[in-house]
Amino acid sequence: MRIFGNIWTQFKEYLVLILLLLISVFFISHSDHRSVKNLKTTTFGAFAFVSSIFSDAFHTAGLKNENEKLRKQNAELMLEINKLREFGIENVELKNLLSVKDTISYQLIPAKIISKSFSADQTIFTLNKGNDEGIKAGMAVITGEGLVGIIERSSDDFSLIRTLKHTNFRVVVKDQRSRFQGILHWSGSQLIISNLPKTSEIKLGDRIVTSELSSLIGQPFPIGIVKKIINPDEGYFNNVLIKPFVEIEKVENVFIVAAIPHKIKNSIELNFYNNGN
Amino acid sequence: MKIDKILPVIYFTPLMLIQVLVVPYFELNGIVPDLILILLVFYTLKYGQLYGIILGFVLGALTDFSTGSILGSSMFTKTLSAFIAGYFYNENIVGTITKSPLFLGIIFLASVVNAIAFSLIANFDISLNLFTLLFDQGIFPALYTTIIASIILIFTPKRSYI
Repeated sequence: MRIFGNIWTQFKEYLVLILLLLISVFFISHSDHRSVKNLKTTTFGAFAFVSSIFSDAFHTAGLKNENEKLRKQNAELMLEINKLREFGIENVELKNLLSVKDTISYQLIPAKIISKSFSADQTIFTLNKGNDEGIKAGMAVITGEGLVGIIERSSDDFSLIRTLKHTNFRVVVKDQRSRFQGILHWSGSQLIISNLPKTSEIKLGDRIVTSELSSLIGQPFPIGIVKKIINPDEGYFNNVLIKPFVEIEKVENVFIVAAIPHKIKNSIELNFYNNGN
Repeated sequence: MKIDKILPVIYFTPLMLIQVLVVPYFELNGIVPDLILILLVFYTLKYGQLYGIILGFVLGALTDFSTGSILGSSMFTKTLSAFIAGYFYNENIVGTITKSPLFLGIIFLASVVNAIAFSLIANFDISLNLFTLLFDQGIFPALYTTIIASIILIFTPKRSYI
């Protein structure tokens, strides 16, 4: 007993450190469990409620409604232009074939970012709207410039956005000109489309949009333009650096695209999303 | 004395509000200072390594819960950072160390450990460039945190209120 007492006296800092680090590792490895998710949703909802009270002090109240209307109109026009651009390209390709039916329907839910959490690897925003407004995990979040991220989880009144600048964010994108597809991700310092075949005809300045093949975002939302093509001497693949249209750090107001193109397809995709987390 | 020891937990909420509402306006290329870490190092140097380790764990848990980051990531990094900072605890200079330039050095060191550990947990990638890890995700965020700590140090009144 005395030996244990001596060990504790001599090494208590190390013992406590090891114990607490082990508990942390346990939480990290179980952070996708439903119970942990529920706990996180409840707690972030409570903190977001406090944040929302204070965040109003940092936003000017004047012209709020008019500004919101204009932003919504801007976002709708962006989507419209993007859709028309898509149709134009498809028209050239398909020429005399049947015209493509417009199956895309969307509703924009305006929301305000009430808090931002930055790190090199994870940029996460909290929104002032949640389940009560019809917001669900997996919905796309946009501004007038393009895609900001997707809804990661939501409580009744608040939601968390996993932004483009999050290392766990993955989305299928395509080059709007050459139609090459790839998976976009955040490396911690850059937005990158990795492992594109060297034969792909991507050029600097090409517009990158989300692909219809994306399991979550089945509509072409603008992402950014090709900033740099990294072409290593060895291997068969290129990496492409993307400059996003949206300045993620400066975004304050966003729209959630409440688009459910097909119920069965959507539920299957959301299941994939939920299982993947 | 006991009330003093739970003060940082009480300070957490207002400080976290500043962290998520005000600090984002001062971001530089996605890098922001970590105010919670400054609080943690301050109290670790005031009450010792063991206290710091437990406080780091508690503040890390509160950070994870309130920001939605990977649960356990801040717990791990803040506990580790407090352990490092705790090596500089000396009960003979408790009152003066937090007002000396050494305090900034300790914050820098703890912040580098915090940032690198967080990067490894949140973005573990076998192809991760050592230079990027050390500078982009370690030293630059730590420097920013240290600069903010030095500003706080300059404007802190000589008489201590915390």
